[in-house]
Amino acid sequence: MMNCPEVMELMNRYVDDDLNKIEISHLMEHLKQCSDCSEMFERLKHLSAELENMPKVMPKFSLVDAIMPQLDLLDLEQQQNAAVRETSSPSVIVPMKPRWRDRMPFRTLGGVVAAGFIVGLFLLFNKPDSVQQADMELTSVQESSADKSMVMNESQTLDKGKTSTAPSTATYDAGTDTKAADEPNKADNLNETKPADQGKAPDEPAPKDTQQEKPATVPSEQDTKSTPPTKGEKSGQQDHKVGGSGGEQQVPTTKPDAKPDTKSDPKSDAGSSNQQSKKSDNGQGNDNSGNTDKSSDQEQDRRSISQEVEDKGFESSDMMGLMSLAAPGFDTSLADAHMEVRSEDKAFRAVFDEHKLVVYNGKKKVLYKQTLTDGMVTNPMWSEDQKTFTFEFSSKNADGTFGEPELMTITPKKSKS
Amino acid sequence: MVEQELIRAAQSGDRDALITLLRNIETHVYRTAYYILNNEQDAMDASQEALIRIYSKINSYEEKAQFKTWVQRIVTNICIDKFRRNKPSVSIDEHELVFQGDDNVEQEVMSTYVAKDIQEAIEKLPEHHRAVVVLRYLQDFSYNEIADALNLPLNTVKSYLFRARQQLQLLLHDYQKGGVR
Repeated sequence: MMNCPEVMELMNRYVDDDLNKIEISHLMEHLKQCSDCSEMFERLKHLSAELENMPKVMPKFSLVDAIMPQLDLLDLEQQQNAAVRETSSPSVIVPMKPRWRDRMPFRTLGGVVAAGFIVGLFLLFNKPDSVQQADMELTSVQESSADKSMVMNESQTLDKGKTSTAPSTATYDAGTDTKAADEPNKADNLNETKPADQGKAPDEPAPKDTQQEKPATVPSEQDTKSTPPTKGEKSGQQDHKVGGSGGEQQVPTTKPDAKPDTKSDPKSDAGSSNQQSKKSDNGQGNDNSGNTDKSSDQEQDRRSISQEVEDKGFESSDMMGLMSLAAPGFDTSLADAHMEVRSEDKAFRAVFDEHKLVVYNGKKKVLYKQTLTDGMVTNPMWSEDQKTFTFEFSSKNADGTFGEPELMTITPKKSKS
Repeated sequence: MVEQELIRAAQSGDRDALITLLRNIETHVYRTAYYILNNEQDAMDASQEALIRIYSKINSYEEKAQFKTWVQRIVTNICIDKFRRNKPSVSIDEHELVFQGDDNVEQEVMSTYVAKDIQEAIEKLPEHHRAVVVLRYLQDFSYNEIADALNLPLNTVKSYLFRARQQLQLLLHDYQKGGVR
């Protein structure tokens, strides 16, 4: 005959449908004789039934849709990783130290980088909402230490927790200051001096038929080649150590830092400054045409927005124009897309290219850099006081539709010069 | 496509298949998170985190395990981590688990617990007991599946589940005794 504790287990297994017929009959036999167990059995069955009836809760909205921007970002990072690995190969003279660093596992790059990694992971996993934000980084403390200070405020109206990411990255950036201190200068020089002789570059982006065209039609080669050089830009050195992207990106993190004065890097620098000089030229042309067309509007708004849209050439419109046109968006996934928005006082330029936003000051210095996932940028504009740049970003879903626009705000601090 | 095909497609780089797969499991993921964390917002956060992890780690899934237990392992791990960060749990041993006497039985046995009471009672369970209960009752997992998902020995799963039930009963019993009903 079984004792009560043994029966207790049988009862439990009974409600879990884990008993065979013989065991069930043993159980029933005991229950007939033992009122305590019999009572317990009733309670247990009752509880189990209640547990089975617990509400089958559903998420309020599709979680997959909600994380799509982060997933896109993961893909982008992977792409870039692969791209950098491709381009990082041979026949480049690399200084000893960077080379050594290149080969080292990511985590051994030192406490600073490890901290960045942790920050990255934290942003990536702890606040999934903020992964997109995680790639917005503060740039160039080395610059700020030299000639200006700069503060970035990032906020998204749709996401509460994000603003807190800025301070932490800022602190961290400061930490890298000494490490990168000897390199940015060279990079700066390259950037500042090259643009003059880069006249050919504007042809580089091949015109596309429509702006909305899927990026899939863009040769992936172009994709992979065009993205990595941006790392070579001066601010990229720190950017990528800090970012949420660091979580997954070993190579880009070490790369830009590693090769500031190798053959390849000047090239990429030149490439990017190409675009910069081109942009500034174009931008001015735009301004002019814009002024003739709509100068009154522009003055009213004290805003100047110049926009280069694919093969449509350059378009200039004021903010009202943009809004009333139901936002001619900027598709970040297009490899040859380019749009720039200047503040009225010419102190800042916000430049959108494929998958990124860069804010320059009047001296073409990169103040701010952000990686964008596939999506549509709308309503880019500088605030009335020229201090804040805002735009709306709708990330692209897998099915090609666009998500809810999120408001992004960037506040560069004016340089003192 | 059945799940197995979707998984294979996803593992070979078919992004759409992977997204479809995530859509198929998101409710299950959320449900587990909701009942372990007992909070909608935390559950949202945790299940999104879990889905992202599944997305990026899909290639580490091996077919020798069931996909659903692999998924639940990911989400319960995330939840238990969160849970630990949020609040210290009470050990189940702090409650004396004794058989109830026969003095106050009948009408209580037959009365119906309110779902909210059950949820509150579940919240009082230690993390692993809670996870076992959630997998058993909300995911309909067998002992073995729970053991796989939580990486626990089969006997441990059983003892957690049995003890959890016993404690739930005590807690709910207390509610009814002290409550208005």
